[in-house]
Amino acid sequence: MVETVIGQFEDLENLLHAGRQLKERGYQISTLSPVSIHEQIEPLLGEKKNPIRYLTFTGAITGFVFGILLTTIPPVLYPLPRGGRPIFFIPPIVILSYETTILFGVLFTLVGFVLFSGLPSFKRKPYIPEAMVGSYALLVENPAEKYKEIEKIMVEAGAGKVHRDEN
Amino acid sequence: MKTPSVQVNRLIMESKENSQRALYEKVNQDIVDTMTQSGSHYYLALGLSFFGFIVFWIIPWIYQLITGQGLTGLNTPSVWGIYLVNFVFWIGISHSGTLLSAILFITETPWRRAIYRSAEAMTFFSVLTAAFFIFVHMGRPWNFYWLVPLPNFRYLWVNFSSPLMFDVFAIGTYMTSSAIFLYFGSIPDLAAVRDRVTGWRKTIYTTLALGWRGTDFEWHWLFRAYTFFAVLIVPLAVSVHSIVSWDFALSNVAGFAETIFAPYFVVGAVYSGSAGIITLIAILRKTLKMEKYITPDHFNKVNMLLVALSLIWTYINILEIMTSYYANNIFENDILAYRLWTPPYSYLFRLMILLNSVFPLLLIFKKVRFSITLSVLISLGINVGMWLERYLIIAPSLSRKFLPYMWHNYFPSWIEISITLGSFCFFTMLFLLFVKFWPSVSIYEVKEDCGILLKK
Amino acid sequence: MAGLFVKIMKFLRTYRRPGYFEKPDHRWTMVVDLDRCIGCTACVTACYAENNLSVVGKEDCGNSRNMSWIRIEKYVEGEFPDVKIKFIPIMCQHCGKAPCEVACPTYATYHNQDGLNVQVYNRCVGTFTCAVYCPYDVRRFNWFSWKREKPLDEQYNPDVTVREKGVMEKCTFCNHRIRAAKDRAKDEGRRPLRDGEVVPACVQSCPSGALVFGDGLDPDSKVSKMAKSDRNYRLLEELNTDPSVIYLKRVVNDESSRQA
Repeated sequence: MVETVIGQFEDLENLLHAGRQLKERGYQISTLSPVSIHEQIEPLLGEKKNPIRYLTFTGAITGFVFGILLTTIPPVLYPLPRGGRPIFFIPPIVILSYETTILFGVLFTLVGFVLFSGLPSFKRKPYIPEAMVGSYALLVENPAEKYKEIEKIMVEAGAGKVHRDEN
Repeated sequence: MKTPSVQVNRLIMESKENSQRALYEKVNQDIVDTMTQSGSHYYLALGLSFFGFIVFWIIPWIYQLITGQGLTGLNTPSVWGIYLVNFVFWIGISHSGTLLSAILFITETPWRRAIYRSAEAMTFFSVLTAAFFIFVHMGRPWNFYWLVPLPNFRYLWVNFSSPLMFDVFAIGTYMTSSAIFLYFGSIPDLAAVRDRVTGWRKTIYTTLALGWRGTDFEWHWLFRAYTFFAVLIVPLAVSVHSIVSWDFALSNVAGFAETIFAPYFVVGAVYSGSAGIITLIAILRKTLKMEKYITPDHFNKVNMLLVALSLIWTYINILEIMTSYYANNIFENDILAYRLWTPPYSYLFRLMILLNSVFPLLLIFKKVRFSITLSVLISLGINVGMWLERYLIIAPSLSRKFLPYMWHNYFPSWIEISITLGSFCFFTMLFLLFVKFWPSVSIYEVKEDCGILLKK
Repeated sequence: MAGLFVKIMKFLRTYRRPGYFEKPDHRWTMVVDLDRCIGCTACVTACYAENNLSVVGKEDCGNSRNMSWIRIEKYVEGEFPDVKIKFIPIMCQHCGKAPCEVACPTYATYHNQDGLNVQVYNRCVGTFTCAVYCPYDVRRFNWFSWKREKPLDEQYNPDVTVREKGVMEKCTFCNHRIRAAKDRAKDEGRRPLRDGEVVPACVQSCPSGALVFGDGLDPDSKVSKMAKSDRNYRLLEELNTDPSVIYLKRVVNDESSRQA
């Protein structure tokens, strides 16, 4: 049973202030925001890695190979002459493998997003609807029953509501 | 820090809100309201377009399926007519979303934020309409699955050397990619809508939003994946319309076999798509009361793009005519003379030049660019002109092929005109449904535009 | 290593060869002697009868939708009394490098080992691309499923498919007659086909002997000998389609026919 403390903030700077203090004390924090606050939150939470690009690249290579195999193998196995062109004909190989490269790149990126971001999520996770509209929220994992301390820091920094979320 | 767009300043100044939260709430409210509060005008428009779709497209098409392609005005040399013109036209319109969404995302242009969602939707729906037209033009469309390269028990594979097979791959990839692109950009907005609705709608949006909460983790991954989608979809859009142009350019018909066709069609596509966007956002602005979000400055920016594209389009047209004339190839001379000097095509050609090359030059003037009425008129003219351009490529070239004994004119029949009308009704219907069930202006992007400015 | 190289070379030699066939069975060729053609359209009528062609009616004919697989193109020059009329029968040229074959996405038209451009009615989905790509406009589309009234429906040739709406068709050099001849030859012990054994309907019905049919790969056949004539030419040669129909120019009593 992990308890999460959710503090609602109106101002981003208050949230950053509280977050810095909590992180110094060794808590695990994350944020909810209605817009991407990546630039502001990055010095606090550290830079995240981006392994999706490896998946996209793998997808593109897979698509390219698939396109080449698709346009090369069936005509060779079931040859039907057409138009005086050879069976092993270069232009469709180029064009169709270009398309399949992009298709598989997109599909593998999609798979990567689903894998890495954890969406779709079927469990109920800590959330306040106000964080989707106009406020920001600071989520602190509270394994050690330090609710009073966390609440004190948040309220000092300027939080609106602070409450516990059990799940 | 990104520079917010001009209209956001106006939004903030006019809104009299002095806190970021209230401003964000207003944005949220405004946009979710477009989905929940629809007046009787909306239902009337939706009903009319659905009725038009059924009466003008579905019923004549079923009649054509039962009776045969002979109901059209097609004949032996002119075997491609309005159906193919419409197909190329709708694929052309679809390039708007890709441009506005993907290219402007990569270049971090701020004025795309309020309009890119509807542009992406326009892309997806026009690709759907174009795909529908493939079925309409085929002689035996119930066998369409033979065009898909799947292993089967008859040991039959498709002909990968055929330009139509390139089409199948290109349009399939484009449809998939633009759907994914549209969906993934909308996930945070669907979550915003999820929080505001109740009942059966809440279930639908909860499923669609995939449990989005807005954590920094999720924003990070969304941004990364979205960047890759944008980067991949731009070369795809260029290749799709090039491949559609190669249906014509890989033949040896004199009016079709031009090397300029690939760039010509792509430029024409972006041109007609951007003109379509202007029409669409003007309608959205009026009917959804988005005056604060879609401002005359948006029209200004897209109009500047239209001027540039108009000049490129004019140049390529002149190129095509001049090189055909210079080559003095007897077959091309016949087609050129037929297209440029013989009525009725000569009148259509002059109308096309007027609508595509002359009127858009008015957009050089700042007053015209900022005026919404004039923008809409000019963009409607551009769309008509681009449809005429496709018609003037296909119909005269096939009517004057190599052997003069087989020359025969083409005139569309009632069923082709009806189905063309039905396609516009279909597109309108899809777009109206989109406006109702999907956030048509991107909530989080507009908020991002505002919020960076307000820092106490 | 050398074995792999040999394998790759063999693969490339087979599959990179234009047209794929190293040694085709035949190359069916038609020679049309325009000096003998009188424009009587007996060939057209015979083709209609032999291949179950549909009569489309006056209105569709006026809209250039007639189904004649072979047509007599008539070009009229000049004013009375100096009128010159030129006839040229044109049927599918069965090009060696056919533009229509490469255009069909479902392989409904391809090149077979007899050098013929075959049309498979069952596989055609009706995309019209082959008709666009054909420079000779020989392809005909079934705009409707025409029905014949009684008793004309008893006139159908049982050797030839009756096509439904939505499929493309064109001259097949009476492929059913070629197949029948080849089957007969096989039954009689795999003997080669004799010259003049295979006669398409149009050739059979031509009263002046303007149409001659045979195997172009056989140097002793009549078509091979006639094709070597000084008057020979092929239609639209500059398009490089390599047609199998060779025309012999008409000899006219004016400057155009003088030898160089």
